[in-house]
Amino acid sequence: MVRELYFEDVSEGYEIPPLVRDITRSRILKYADAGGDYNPIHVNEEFARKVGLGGIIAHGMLSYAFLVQMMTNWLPKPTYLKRLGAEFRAMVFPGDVVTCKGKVVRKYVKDGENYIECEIWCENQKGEKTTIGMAVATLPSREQK
Amino acid sequence: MSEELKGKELGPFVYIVWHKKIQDFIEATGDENPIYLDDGAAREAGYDGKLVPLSFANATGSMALWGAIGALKVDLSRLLHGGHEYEFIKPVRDADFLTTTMRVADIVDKKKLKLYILEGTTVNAAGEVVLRFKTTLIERKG
Repeated sequence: MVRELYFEDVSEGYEIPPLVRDITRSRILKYADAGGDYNPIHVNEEFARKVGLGGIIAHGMLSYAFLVQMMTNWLPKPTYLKRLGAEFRAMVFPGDVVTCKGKVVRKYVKDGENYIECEIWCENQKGEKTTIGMAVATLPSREQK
Repeated sequence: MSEELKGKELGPFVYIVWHKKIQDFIEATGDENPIYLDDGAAREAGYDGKLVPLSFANATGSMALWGAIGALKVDLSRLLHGGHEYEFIKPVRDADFLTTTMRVADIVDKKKLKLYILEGTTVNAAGEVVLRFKTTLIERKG
């Protein structure tokens, strides 16, 4: 079943269903396997301490992947997501719980396509924004149905 | 040194999409969208077969970034990822042969940090652009 969501259904301020992910060592290691990013700050506890990080940190791109996932879970088709940019503001550690949130901030039509622009971010369990970003997606119109 | 690097072209870096890495990626992120797992669900959504998760772009870009980090001679123990932006142009598919090229768009020298802003493009074997990206690497000083 393809979920239905049309351009007319969303307005500025519309909140995107959040995505919650726990950060564990095994998740970080699995992500290192997937992307081939074995920077010791992500996989070697002793190294991470030595360079002053307090311990291993999650890849920034793991938070990025969660933000993409929040968007593609919500959009009827993953390929409606056109662009996503994120800034990694604070470190994410094993034991943290990351919640991705977002809201529609702008709707516009360009070259016959319906676009939405969304403010998106990740918060940790203390409510601190660890990643902030923006996403642009297209949505079909009910008229095109 | 910084001035010499500005505008420098990096790559090409090649990456072959492998289903085992896609599985690792789905496990790591918990991204179990049926369109990534099941050909039937993907066809129902109008695709000709299952897609690779959009964020798997991270994996294809990661190898290229490591190549770039080597070329820029950034000190690994001082390296952080500041930010990243992808433009998703065409879906990446399983077994795609991808080639990424990058250029150093800017280098910003700050008091405690040095920022490397890289821009890149990834094409598939047919020469179609699948991804464009911009990434910021941070080198901590002192």
